[in-house]
Amino acid sequence: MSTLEVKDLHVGIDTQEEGYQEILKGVNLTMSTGEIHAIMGPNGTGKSTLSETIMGNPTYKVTQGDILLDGKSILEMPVDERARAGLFLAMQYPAEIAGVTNAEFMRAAINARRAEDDQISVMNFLKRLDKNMKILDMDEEMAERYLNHGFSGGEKKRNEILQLMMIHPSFAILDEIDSGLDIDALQVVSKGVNSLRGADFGSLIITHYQRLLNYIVPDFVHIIMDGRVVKTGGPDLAKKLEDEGYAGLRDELGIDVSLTDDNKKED
Amino acid sequence: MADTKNTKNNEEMLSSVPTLEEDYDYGFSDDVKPTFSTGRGLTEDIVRQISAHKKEPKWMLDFRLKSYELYKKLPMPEFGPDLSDLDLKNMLYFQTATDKKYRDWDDVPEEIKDTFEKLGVPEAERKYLAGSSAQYESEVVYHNMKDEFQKLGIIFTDMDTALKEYPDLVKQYWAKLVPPSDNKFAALNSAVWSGGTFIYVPKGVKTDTPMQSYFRINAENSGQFERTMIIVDEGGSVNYVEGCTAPNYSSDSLHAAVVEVNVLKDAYCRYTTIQNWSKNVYSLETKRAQALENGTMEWVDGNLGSKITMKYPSVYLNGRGAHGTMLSIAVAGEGVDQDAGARMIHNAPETSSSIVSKSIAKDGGAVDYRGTVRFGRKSDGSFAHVECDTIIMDEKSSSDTIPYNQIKNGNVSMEHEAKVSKISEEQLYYLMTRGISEEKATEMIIMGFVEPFTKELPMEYAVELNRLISYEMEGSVG
Amino acid sequence: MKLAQTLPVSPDKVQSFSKAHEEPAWMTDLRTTALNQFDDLEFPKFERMNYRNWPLTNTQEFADTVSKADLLDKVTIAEEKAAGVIVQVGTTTTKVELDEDLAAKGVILTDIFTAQQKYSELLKEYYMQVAVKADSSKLTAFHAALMNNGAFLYVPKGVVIKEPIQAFYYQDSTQVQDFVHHLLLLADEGSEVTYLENFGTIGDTENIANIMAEVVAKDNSYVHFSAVDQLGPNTTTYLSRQGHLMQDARIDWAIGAMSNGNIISDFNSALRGEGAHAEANVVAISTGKQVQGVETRVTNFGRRTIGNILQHGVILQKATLTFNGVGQIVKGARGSDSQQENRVLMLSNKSIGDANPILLIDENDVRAGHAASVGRVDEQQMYYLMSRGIDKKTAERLVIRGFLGSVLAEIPAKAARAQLTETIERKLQDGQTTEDD
Repeated sequence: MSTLEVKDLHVGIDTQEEGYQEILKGVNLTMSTGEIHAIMGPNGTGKSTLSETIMGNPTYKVTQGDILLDGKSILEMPVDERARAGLFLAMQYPAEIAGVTNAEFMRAAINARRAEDDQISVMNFLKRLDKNMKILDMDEEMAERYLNHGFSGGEKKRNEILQLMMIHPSFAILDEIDSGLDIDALQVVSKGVNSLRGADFGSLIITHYQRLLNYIVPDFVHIIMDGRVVKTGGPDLAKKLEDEGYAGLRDELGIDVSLTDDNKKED
Repeated sequence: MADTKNTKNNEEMLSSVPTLEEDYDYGFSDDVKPTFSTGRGLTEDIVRQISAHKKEPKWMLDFRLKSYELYKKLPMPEFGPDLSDLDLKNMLYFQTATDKKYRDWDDVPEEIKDTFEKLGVPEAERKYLAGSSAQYESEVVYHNMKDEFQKLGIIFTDMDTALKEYPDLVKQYWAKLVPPSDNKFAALNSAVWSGGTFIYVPKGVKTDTPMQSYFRINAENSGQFERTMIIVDEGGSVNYVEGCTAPNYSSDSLHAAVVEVNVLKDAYCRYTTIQNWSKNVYSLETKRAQALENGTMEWVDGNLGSKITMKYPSVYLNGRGAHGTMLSIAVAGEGVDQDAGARMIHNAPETSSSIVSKSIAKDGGAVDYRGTVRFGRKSDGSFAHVECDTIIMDEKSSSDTIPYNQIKNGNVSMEHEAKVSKISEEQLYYLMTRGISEEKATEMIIMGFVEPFTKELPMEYAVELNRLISYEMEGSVG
Repeated sequence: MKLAQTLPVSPDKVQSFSKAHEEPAWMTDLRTTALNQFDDLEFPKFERMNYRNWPLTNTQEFADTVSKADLLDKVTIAEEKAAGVIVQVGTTTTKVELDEDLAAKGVILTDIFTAQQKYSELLKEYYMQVAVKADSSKLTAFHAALMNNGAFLYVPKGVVIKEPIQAFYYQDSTQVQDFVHHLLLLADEGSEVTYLENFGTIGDTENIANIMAEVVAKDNSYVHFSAVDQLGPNTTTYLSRQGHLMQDARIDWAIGAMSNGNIISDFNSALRGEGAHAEANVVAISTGKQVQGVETRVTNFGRRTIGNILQHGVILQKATLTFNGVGQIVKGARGSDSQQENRVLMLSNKSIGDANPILLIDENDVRAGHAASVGRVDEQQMYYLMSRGIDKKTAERLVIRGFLGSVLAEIPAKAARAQLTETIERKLQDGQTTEDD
């Protein structure tokens, strides 16, 4: 069993206009493989910051606290080492790279985890790829297209999950994997994630909406507001939130924070 | 056969364009000939000796002498890289292939041997590429190809032989696209040229087999002053490939070739060059093509080495509906200045052109794009597209993008885009989140960046180029 | 006609001109030094512009000649609310007005000769010392030696001027006279100003013009600089606007290059201080047989500097328009950004258009890019307008106005914007009329 611990994490970014801005103001979170955690919260409260910081995006500066994988701090590890140590981040806006095929990229990612003299054979790779693409209902030609290049929003999301299945990490962070997906696509993506569920896999699902959690049922739900986890509970918490909204929860907890996105529709 | 009237009409337009272009080398000869060299420096007498040695017709001698006079008068190019270290006075202007001093394999720089090893260049080829052998074991392949071409009526030979065996054809097209007055190095080539390739594709004949200069032997084509001429007659098609990806060690410090390609009505020519000279070489070439009605000329051009490269292949779109493309990559490492680009001259209605240039500068290298797109008065309904992308890998390296776009017709359209940046941090981060190391990720991004080029290469070149880039990228991170 | 390599002006004449204007000694020295250096200096080089046969340095008469009184009344002045107005005709200054509150705060708006007398130390420090030097080229030396009119605008530290300062500079071509005009605009730390200048020509005598504007934007200052250039068809011009930007300073240029004669416009912004930012918006129309060259250059020297160039041009009849955009990032200017866009519309088969977007990059931690296009009037837009019953020529002018709108929108003063729109309309109409012949 692996564990991922976030301890009193303070994170900020340097902005051109306003200088240093603190986003996470002391986040605590512990998860183990075999568990699915969901993080919910209104826009701009630091959900994506948390996921990018765990992964090691250099834009985000950790000023206090620690992130531990199996008891060891990963803060000094560059992003590729963190990935090989078992972390995976399915991104909201994955980069596009023309000229590099999807298949070529995924093979490189798998081989990066294997010894020089034990690289995956093309046959085995293709078999695995084929199997996973079927689960995700993806067209074969997607493998030969350039990495995310010209992919639609939905195709990008599927492609993130395809990589997740190919790499099979210990911990997967899914950053708003449901945004912009129609109900069919949402089911397919959930099917992919659920296929990985087991004692050796844990996931941190970041989402706005409870809907996704009907398909990937979490063991724990955390609510994040203004850079802190303000409430933790079971799947019911998400349902309650759906009914009452973030404003209701804010008032219940007596937190002084303005929710500018209360009335905004998600794009 | 050829539209000579058209060719003549265009002479005026052509000669008004100051051009300076490329060079390459791929020669090998197993023909043992008596030693002959003209010694260092260039005089009128040497020009006469070269012509006499080759037993040329008088018109060619006259042409050489006229060119020599022009060479003396013309100035060095007034733009681009600094050529002040180029010592034209102390150069060997003519030697037969067998006179070349071949270096001992032990003397070949370790760096070059290492690269051969990494690229998996076959043993026999290594010696040739390193300049320690004039031999190249490809005779069988060559003869097979030659038979195939002969059946089709294609002429594929070296320039000296062509002048002997097809004097009228050669004379008809000789220096029509690149007159000796064009620039100092075109004049120099015209005065002392030796070797090069001659291809004639008859009307309606199409070949799928790429013609590779690699597979020619028995020719004095290893010279510094090659002269290549291709004529694709109406409806014909040819795909010509020259050069090689592996580093080519040359003891000559100047390579000034002239290439003229005539694509007649409805014909097609693709001319692929990969060049990786050693870093003592000045590569100053003049490459020019014209495409007549509905003809297509495609340059595919990769420049990886040399000290200074100045090369701007051009296409004169002289017939209605003619099409020209340039697809190029340039990689400049330490001590390398790649000043390259393309010229597309739209002289007829409904012509189209496309230029895609990909450049990478690293370890203090400089890559410059210098190009021209011109729409003449008669270019109604024509279109041009230019795209230049540059990656500067480190703070020691630099890049200039200097495109000229001149338009003399109101009924045309032109789009030009260029970008210069470092490696995308977003892409790098993304790849690394999947566990790929920074070095490998950098390599993948660079490979993807040049992919539009590599995918157009014959397989063996593409594989070798990818290996070379991978090798070049080693140690470029951290 | 050939460019003069030696100036046919004696040092005595320059000195007596300087004396007549009661110039300080440093100014007289600057003039005579420039005169002496002229011979040894080179003409500036602009890619793809050949002006060797232009009489740019063939001075005919630079010293004062009185402009006729009725001429001075002729000039039209926008009646918009302005913080200040200056009007000059030929070598005469006919009007200077400045809001009293601003004057009390230390804002200075005056003609260049008065400025030399009253603010000698300030001018000595900045006049052709910072943004441009007299010995940069033959044309700058010519300017320094023979400058015969100009203006000075100073905005003190922290002063923010809301309404525009408007300037009207008319060349008097009812007679033979060189028009050598100089503006020095000094925006002190943290100040902000909107300045709008108009150049025009009265009369049709063949004359030369050598115009220079220096803008020094000190730390944290913000200068909105708009210009409408409408020099006459018989004027051959070198027009230079030079910006010098210090830390976190910004200049927004909005320039309408609408002159009718042969002209070289040389617009330059040097981003010297960290975080400096320049936006250079230029629109140009070339008509008749006019040859117009516009070179807009931004050089990123400081870290995190931003330089954007946007040039849109229209060419009619037998005219030539050469647009050079030069974005240069020097070594050390890490984190900088240089972008440019050059777009040209060709309306005639007899015209010549050049769009040369040049990038010179010596640093890798940067973003640089350019786009250029040359083409015809958008057919979709034409179709749409004509489907509403608008005739072809009007539709064409509307589409073109939209094409030039990017710069128009940047001009802050309403009257000036209207005036430029009118100028564009007139120039296009003129062009369209002869197009049919």
